[in-house]
Amino acid sequence: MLLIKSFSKSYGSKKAVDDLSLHIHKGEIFGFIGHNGAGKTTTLKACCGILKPDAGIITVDGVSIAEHPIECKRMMAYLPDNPDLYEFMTGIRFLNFISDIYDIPADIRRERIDKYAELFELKGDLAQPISSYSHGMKQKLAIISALIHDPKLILMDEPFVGLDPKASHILKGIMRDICDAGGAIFFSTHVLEVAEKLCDKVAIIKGGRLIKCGTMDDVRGDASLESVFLELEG
Amino acid sequence: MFKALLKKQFLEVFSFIFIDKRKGKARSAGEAVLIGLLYVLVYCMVIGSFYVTARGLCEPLVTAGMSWLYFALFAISALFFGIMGSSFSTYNSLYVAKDNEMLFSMPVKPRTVLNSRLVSVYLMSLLYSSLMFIPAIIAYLGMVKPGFLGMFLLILTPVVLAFFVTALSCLLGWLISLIAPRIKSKSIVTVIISLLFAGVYYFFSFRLSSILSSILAAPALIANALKTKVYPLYLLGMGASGDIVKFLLFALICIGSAALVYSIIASGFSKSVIGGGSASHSRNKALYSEKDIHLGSSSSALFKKELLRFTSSPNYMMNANLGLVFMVGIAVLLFIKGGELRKLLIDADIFGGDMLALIACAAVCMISSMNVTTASSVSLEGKHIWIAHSLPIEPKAALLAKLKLHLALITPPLALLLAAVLTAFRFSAALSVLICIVSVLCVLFLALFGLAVNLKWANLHWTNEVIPIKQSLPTFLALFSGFGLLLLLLGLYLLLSKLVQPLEYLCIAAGLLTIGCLLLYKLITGWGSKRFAELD
Repeated sequence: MLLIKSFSKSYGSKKAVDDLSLHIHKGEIFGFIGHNGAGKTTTLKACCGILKPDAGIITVDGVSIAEHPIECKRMMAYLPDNPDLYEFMTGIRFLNFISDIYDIPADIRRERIDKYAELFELKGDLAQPISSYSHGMKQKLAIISALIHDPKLILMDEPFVGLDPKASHILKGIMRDICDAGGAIFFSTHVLEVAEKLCDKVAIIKGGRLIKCGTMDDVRGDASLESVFLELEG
Repeated sequence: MFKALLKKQFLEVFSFIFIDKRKGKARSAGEAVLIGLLYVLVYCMVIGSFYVTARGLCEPLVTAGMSWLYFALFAISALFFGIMGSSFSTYNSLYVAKDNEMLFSMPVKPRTVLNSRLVSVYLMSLLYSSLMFIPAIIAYLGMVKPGFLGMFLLILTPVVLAFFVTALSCLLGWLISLIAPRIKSKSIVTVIISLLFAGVYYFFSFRLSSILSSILAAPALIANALKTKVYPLYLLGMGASGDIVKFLLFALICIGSAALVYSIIASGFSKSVIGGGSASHSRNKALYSEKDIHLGSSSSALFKKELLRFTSSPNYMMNANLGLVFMVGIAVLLFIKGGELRKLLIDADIFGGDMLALIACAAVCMISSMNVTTASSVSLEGKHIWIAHSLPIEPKAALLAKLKLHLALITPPLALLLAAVLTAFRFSAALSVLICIVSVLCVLFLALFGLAVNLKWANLHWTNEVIPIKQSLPTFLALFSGFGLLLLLLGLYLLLSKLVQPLEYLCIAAGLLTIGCLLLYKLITGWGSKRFAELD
């Protein structure tokens, strides 16, 4: 679903990501773990076409993001680490805006907005301006907007930050459902327990370089993910 | 406690001296001194400009034994300035201060917080009202040499008057706090009120000399009217002229009204700031209904987003589009007085033949160039740029939505202005069509130019939206590009004036502007799209 081949990106003289290669298959929840500044966000942004790679190829379902960004973006959704949404819009206006961009028919958008807004208990606040939302509410709205066009691939940067336990639980369920339906999730997290329970595969990145990648069992062996991570991080 | 709050209040008010808000960093001591001196200089310059008016009024009124009327007239202006300058800042600092929650979570009495804020409101009121009163005092001292008591009362007058200004500002701020939660389109209401204030200010500024002449023509009549209808103004005037009893009475009125307003505000302050905020929020909470779903194309969605961004910000509306107000104002004026102006220009034979058409066209273009919506539209994406980048839209589509907004905003006033110009001056059909074409092309060229310079010098890392809107290089360049373009076209006309007639020159200008527009459009859709996609 998502293929990252020899991806490198530098900011000035600092190499943020160096020769990273990953393959996220359909049906997989793929966790991306690393310390702050390891290169997780840079990788996710490059995957969704926000950042241009210095080197390497990134493809979504066989389509190059560099050559066909619109086609790729139609297949996926991106959830940033900080949900900076248009504060001058109400929640429902924002969802309509996203739906218009993805050309979602009225009946489908109504059904999905109802479904997800009810699931995340945001329906009553959809008519409110986003500027009045709490961080958690913005995060929920960003999640709904990411799900509204039924993407095949979702890239998420720290998706559980700011969510209450119930919303976190619901999101985990949705992530699993998407993958069971043939989609894929590539997400970064610092919460190793979540990664351990949720992910089919995991990659650990340090200083922009991939230091471990594989199925959860391959990576952690008999130990916990936390101890493996701490050991690898040195 | 009070001292600490007061110190915080002063630091907040004068933070512009110590902190560079564009960079979000502290200024060096030298820079801070320089900025401080610059503001003092500007303040002195404004005082100097009012001094000229004060001199004109002082001599005849003092000579006629009506010193009190002189001070009363300046007190009216000081009240206007004081209230205009401080009522919105009073509302913001009293009721919607960002540190409310932090302060109320600490062991601080609400009244102590209120008192510290009121001191800064008082100082702001004094600062604004002194703009009018200081020149009045200086001009007065140039003519009259009061004794110690007279001097003392004269200096105390603006100090006491500022209590009344504070009372009125607080009252207005309190009323705004009651009304604001019930207003749906706050930004638009803010723009309308600001325009009203500006309108009143410009009305009086333009009519100042005729107002002064009317006052000086019949001072006794005005004095009598003021004395009978606004007695406190008479007390102020007499007090400032040295009558201690009347001064004390005036001081009693000012300080008494301030005390009364204080008691009204203090009784519901903590409720308005904390309790009332959430209560009013839930009371006015709009409920979502399924009707709220509207279908649209991706380009109309992008345009609506730009429109919402625009209407959500009074700063954006006011600063980037003040020209629209002038366009409508001038159009209305031309519809009313256009005939007279035409007669005047034709009778005076100032512009021969079709030259008037060129001048009219240049004037329309010049006024239109005051609209610079596109010049900050890219920078205003700010931290939200990731949304445009991650959505399946061509960067070109996002840029064209910004261009469309600029054109959609300017088209109705431009049409009105052109209709007014053409009605007023009755040019030939060919000239009329060419004036319209050149004006439209000029507007399009300047909109494209604004977008191009904003793409080149985009700043997405602002902390306050005023920075990209008002204090950025793209806005500066876009504002002056209108003048530049007209100078270029004027220069070209001077070169060609012996070879071509105005009608032919308008054709040439239209051709050149079309080429300019096409080149800029190509630049924006090519280089600009790439640049927009790479902005971070």
